[in-house]
Amino acid sequence: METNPIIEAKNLGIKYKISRFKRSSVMNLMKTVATRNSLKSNGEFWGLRNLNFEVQKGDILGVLGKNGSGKSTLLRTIAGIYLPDEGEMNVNGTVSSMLTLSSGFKEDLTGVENIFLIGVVTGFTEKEIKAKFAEIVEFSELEDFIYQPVKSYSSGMKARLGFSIAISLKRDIMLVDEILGVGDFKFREKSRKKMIELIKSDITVVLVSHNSETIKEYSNKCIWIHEGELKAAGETDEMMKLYLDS
Amino acid sequence: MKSLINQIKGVLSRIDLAKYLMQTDLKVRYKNKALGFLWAVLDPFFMMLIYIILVSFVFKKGDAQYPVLLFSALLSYRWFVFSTGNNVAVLVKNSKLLQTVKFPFSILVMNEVNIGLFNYLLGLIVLFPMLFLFNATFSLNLLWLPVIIVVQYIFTIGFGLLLSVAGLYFRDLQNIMLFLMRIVLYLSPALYDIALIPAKFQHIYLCLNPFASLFDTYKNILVRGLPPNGYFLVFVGFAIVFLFLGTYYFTKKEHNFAKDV
Repeated sequence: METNPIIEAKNLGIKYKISRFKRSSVMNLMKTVATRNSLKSNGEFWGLRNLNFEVQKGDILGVLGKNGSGKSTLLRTIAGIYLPDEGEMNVNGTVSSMLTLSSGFKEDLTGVENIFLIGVVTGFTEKEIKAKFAEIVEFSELEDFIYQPVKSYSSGMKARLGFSIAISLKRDIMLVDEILGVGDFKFREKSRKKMIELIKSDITVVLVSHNSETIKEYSNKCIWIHEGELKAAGETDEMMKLYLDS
Repeated sequence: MKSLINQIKGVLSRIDLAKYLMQTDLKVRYKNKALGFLWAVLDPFFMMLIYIILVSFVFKKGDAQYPVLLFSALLSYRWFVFSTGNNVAVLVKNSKLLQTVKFPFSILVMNEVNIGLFNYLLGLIVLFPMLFLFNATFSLNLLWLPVIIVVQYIFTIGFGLLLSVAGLYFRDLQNIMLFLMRIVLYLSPALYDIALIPAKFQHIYLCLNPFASLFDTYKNILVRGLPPNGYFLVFVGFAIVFLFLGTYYFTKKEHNFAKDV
């Protein structure tokens, strides 16, 4: 490629420790001692390994793979939450990591308060959030419910609010983890249109879904991760054939 | 030193987040309650009442100023217990957040200390009228109060940073700390006067137990009208050591939190 990639993984590896001490407690410690398991026998496993890929600005990258293949690990690494244990992950832009957003709501707070809280947590200033506030509320279709505590919302309403925040408070790179296809049919249509609008803008999206239909619809490039390693990468159409044939 | 500067820089760069976390935490804590923020004042008041009834009426101990002496020490310990008790579990409690967004996680630790401080300051609203009522000696030494509060703040942050990491890798610590903090209270001169400790042990007692000098100092400046004595430097020393150890250890482990939580 001629231009500098906006996201670039070089030989990336992320290691997890399956430590006996992870959830450790006195009981576990005693068990460990009792069974004479050496503490050094702590297992490790690579959540991702030898991963090489590039994403150009404006690309919509779909990440294919089964559950547990390392898709979420990859998103977290792009977001800077995990540091590479091996290799490099270069990200040349700001990232909004809207991963499983609605789980971040504080139930006792109102929709309005949650919009500001999530906005500030994800690194936006109060001013930026205020500027987007009307857009978020309007898109979520929550109307007066926005002033009610989130605990009174249905799961659909929560998802709608989560999606509206994610779509409005965005950065150069947007990480999307299974938050599409929320709400009723009408809302799904609306969010689909919004996504297509987004794709046409110069924003870069990394899209994770185990629903290959979603990926097929939105992304132009794909990578396929299998057991933490890159199985294939390329244009969406050819990747889809490969993936579905397997 | 480097990690301390980096942590402070990190927190300052996201000071609006610290403000928001505190606001929302206070809202959640006191909203939906008929008496709302009044609870922040009533709570220490009732706590004091219980100890006064217990010591003055049941055990028939303590002198005329006992209630305010007790309260001036207990109020600060309440702050420490609240913040530390929450900080042991703070990383586990916020696991979702840690795995979703990157930000200086020490803000979470600081937040618990801030809320404890907020409650402490509201507790002072109960304490000051009581100081009048019990004929406390007012003097310019009262001006030491903000200084003592700042040192306790640093102490609690440093200790909280250490414990939050320890609590993440050793979950039993939550339960252990509950007991430890109760034992420390009984080992420290809050419920009793420091004069009760035999004279020959006093020096070593004041040097080893940071709360001994802390409580004595609070009692001195608030009730007795005396300045802090040299032993307060012991507490200052503990605060600085914990701050350095805490930031060093926290910075070293910080990038593993999302994986290990």
